[in-house]
Amino acid sequence: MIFKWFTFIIVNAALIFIFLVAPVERQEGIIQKIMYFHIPSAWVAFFAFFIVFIASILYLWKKEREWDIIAHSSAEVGIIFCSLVLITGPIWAKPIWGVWWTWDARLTLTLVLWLIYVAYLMLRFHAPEGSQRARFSAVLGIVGFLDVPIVHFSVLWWRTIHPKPKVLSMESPGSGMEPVMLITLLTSLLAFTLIFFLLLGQRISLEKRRDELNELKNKLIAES
Amino acid sequence: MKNFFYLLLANGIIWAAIFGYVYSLSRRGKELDREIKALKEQLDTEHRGQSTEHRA
Repeated sequence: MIFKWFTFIIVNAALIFIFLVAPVERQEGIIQKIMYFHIPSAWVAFFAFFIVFIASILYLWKKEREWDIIAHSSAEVGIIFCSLVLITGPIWAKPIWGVWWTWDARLTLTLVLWLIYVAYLMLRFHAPEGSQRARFSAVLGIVGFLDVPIVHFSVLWWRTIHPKPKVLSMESPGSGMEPVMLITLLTSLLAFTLIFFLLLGQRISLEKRRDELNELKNKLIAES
Repeated sequence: MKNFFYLLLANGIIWAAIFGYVYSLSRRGKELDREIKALKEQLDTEHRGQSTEHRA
């Protein structure tokens, strides 16, 4: 409960920073503030897929259902945030680039990343339950994660029109940003990360209850 | 300020998606809880029935 209240406070602080404290950028105007939603969504999506990657490795190693549950739950929450990246990006791009979408390396690779994890969830949904499904999903969860660093470094490796990384730049962190803008971005990053952990916790609890239900069903079949 | 609409749109979509997902999780959770409760009751009833048969 304390964690929920802490998240609520940080989310509200982030919104106050975004709408009332952070200055309006000179060149792009108010539309630049979409960055405070877009970057944290991307960070959470990458982090979620990293958890899928780690949990998948641990599942293949230890064969414990717990890791499979964590990987599945994190993939589902990650897809939500990756979708938000793909929605908020075009909303920013329309007034700035004049188009909703362009087949730029960063944008295309992010779409590929989204498709990989949609395939991951479809595999889980359609394959029959059991260790084989968990094994195949784990392999896809590991291979799929390889796209994450490619997405991140795509703006440095290829010529793209997407803005270069700010917080995780090769120079000093947050380079080129005003301190108030950096604080706003970091608060928003924290808020989105906390929301992610809340959603992940709820999703894991749901999956555990589904296991309990299946156990009861098997018990009932065995007894009748 | 001419692009304020786009900012509000992005903000609205973000929160709609997050709250929509929370709602979906809570709905699925309630459905599972209901099914678990029903199965537990069914198992209890069967256990009671079996113990009555044994006593008889």
